[in-house]
Amino acid sequence: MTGNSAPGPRPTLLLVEARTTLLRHSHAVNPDMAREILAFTPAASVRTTSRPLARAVSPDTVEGVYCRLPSAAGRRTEGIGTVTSRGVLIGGRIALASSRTLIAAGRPGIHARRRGWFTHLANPGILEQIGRADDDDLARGFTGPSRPGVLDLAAIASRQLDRVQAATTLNGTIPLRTARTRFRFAVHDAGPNGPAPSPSFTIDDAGVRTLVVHAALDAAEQLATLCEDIAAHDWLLTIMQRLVDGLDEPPVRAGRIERIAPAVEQLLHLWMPGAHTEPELSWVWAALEGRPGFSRQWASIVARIRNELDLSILRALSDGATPPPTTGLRRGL
Amino acid sequence: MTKRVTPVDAVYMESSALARTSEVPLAQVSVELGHLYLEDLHTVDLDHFFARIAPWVDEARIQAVACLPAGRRPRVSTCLLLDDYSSPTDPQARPAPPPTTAIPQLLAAAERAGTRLDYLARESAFVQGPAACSLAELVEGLLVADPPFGANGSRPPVTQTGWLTNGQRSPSTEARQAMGQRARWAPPTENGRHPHSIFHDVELWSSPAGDDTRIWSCAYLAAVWQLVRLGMLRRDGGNAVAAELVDPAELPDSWSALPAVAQVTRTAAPLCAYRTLSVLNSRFLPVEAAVRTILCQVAADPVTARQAVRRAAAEGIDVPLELINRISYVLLSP
Repeated sequence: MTGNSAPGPRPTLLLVEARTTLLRHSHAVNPDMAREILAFTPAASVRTTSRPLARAVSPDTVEGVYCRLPSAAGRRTEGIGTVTSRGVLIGGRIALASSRTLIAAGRPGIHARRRGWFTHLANPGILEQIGRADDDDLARGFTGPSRPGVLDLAAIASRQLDRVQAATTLNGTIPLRTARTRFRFAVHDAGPNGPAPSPSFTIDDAGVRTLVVHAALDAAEQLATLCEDIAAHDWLLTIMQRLVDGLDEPPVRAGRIERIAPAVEQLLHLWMPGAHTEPELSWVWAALEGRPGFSRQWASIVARIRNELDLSILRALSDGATPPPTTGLRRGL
Repeated sequence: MTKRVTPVDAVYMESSALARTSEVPLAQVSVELGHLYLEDLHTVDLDHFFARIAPWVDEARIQAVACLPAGRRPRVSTCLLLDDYSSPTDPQARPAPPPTTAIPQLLAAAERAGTRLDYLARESAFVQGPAACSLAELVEGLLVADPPFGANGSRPPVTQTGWLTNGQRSPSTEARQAMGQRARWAPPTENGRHPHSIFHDVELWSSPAGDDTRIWSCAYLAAVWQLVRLGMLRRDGGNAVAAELVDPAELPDSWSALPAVAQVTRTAAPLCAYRTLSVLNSRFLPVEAAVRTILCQVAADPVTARQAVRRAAAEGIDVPLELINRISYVLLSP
């Protein structure tokens, strides 16, 4: 029997943009509340995992786009299709939104625009390319400086994160000052065999992190989870590094401990690289641990915090005071 | 010699971590034997009504609609949509007959015409629902408007609240006139036109009271009905609408006491199907054109859409992935 359904386009590039921040709430939310926050659509349920670390994922939301694609070489190439986005809560504490789309070469025959919008909705999360630009050019365009009028995954992810943060159940009290981080991933289709180039990780002047990976694209959802996992850990590193860097600024020592305490209580236990990454993709984590060395940097931050707390305890004891409340914090490190 | 230790990964899964999309029973074709307003039940000659429709839903025709290989009996269910929602509200009009008299008349008339009526749906049930989420609202959450060129995600999709088009509207002339410029009319355009436009602008709902109360349009609810019949609607991953068996001997006195979809034949094939066929009076042509404009912009759950493709393939039947291509019509003159 002949298929009367047009074959779906075959994607060769996955673009993901993740935005990460601290959930606008005084403490970590429990799984029930996480489900309530992420219930973006009544059609599908929020997925939750409790081990080794709580993680809740909203159903995907779909947005239609028809615009120029980011070509580093400035080629005129367009894309039509959809971007899928979701909100993620990690440890009930980290709020993250990711927007992703697979780029596929245009299908032969009828122009992608004329084929009807419904053909694009039948394969959500795919942008069909109109015009020529190779994947390297598009990946470099995506991870490079943004240009007006070009596909803007950042804005879509940002709105999705706003939606998480706007949940009415959140009390809006944040225990420590943090910032939103931006992470861009370009995943090239590695094909079934052949050695894949190593992942390349960069941080640009504007603070945008980019990671370019070669992997099999048939499990795009698992790749999105990997990207979210990396983005969340990069955020933890960024926030904690800023915190310890700020410790050398002059205020009194007691103030320093007060600044450290919320981070120790709320964030340190969330460090679990690869906790939700599929085993087939753990090599990406392994590569990042080699260079830039995520866990080495984290260990050095934790050591610095431990020293600060030790010093504060010793100082309090030598002053003849009762052990300060930081003793409890120190026990966990 | 060192002993080699092979690391073993334990398999760990949590059921709450998996996306759950339940499957629904599926017939091969869902046949709609017309569309009636409750008031029509007084005036329409039901024998004539079903006699016009019946020849178009015989086995040979259904077989062709189902794309079944020759000689295979189709698994088909029939249904009728009763509009008890957008009926004209004429205070002079006689009240609609109660289900106790109307339903047995419908069933008997269908049988006399040589067909059979399996399911009766009430349109007003599509706008009512648990916890502020009716089927109408559920479908609203699936709408992804066909984007104009330049929609790159930097701004939220531009929507004219309550309306959906298949293209781009004419630019507003009032705005330019207000700015003191000469306003010149520009035509609306259909997306992907070739080369001329047929522009549709469909009203999904209105809010005549000016508050949050919505009156959903007939076209919109007919689109919801198509999605129900294609088995595409899920609530929290579970089936969003299930037909309830109603004994024709124990019918309620009021229409609102009937379930959203009442199964009125005990041995009916499932309500939902791989494909739908609607046999309608041609006065519904504009409504169905609007239904198609809406359905072309519904982002159905891809898992659900593929379930039907996969299950049909297991039966040796070809079903397209695109919902709009699963829908057939017969339009009859009045």
